[in-house]
Amino acid sequence: MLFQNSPQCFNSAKAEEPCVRTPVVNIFESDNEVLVEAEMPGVAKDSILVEIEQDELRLRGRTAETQTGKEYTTLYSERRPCEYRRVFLIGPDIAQDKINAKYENGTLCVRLEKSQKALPKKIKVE
Amino acid sequence: MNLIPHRRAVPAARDPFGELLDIQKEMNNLFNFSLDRWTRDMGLLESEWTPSIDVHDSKDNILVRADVPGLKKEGLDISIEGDRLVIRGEKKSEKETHEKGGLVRSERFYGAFHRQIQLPNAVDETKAKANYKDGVLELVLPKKEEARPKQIKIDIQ
Repeated sequence: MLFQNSPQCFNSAKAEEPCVRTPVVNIFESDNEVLVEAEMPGVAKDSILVEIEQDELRLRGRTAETQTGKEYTTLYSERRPCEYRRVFLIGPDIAQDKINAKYENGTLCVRLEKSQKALPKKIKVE
Repeated sequence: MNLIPHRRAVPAARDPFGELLDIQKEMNNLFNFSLDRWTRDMGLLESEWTPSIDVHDSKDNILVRADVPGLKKEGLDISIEGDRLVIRGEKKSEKETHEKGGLVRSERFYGAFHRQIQLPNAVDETKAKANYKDGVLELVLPKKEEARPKQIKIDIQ
């Protein structure tokens, strides 16, 4: 069908299905670690998925269902249920077994450590 | 910004013309109420960031939700000025993380923002409740007694 591939966010007929969004990120890099901060407001903690497969780091999270009582009618609506998804390519210098993630104030922080081999070695001059 | 009643579009059942109409409706909506936000979000007019909000109305309360990720509770300032709700805040970059390493990619917005919402009824600000969790601010604003709809019973004779 002609409009089958239209972006879900615009397609009101599919408004019940969550749309997919790309979270905005800040990435910090130092000699021994990489820090990814992704803004994912209102996400249910148990829906958050942080995974590494080969050279990809994948972040995912679905907004928690908010209960609005039946007595309410909606006057204005900009927020939508959605799934945040983003994939990053990571270099071989990341220690894949040393990753930790924290979700705080609507921001997912993923800390990736670099493997010892990748750290710059200081050589003393004799 | 005025409140615009929210209407859910009726899904068209596999009717290409219906879908066309849907798209037209969406396009109209797009320019009706989100151009202002869009231009701001995309930084076309200002570099300011505005949080997305929902407003729900019941007989007794007005419920407002706003997405304000990355803010700390202390960074939010909520006030009711006449018939307007004003949400102000400032998102500060965490110095600690900045010091740990260089910023290699920056998409997040930092700085002050403010958003005003025209409330449909007068609310009792002394009984207002605010809750902030996971980057979402939720406000329950009880309507003032005189602003609540009253049912008048008329006996039919």
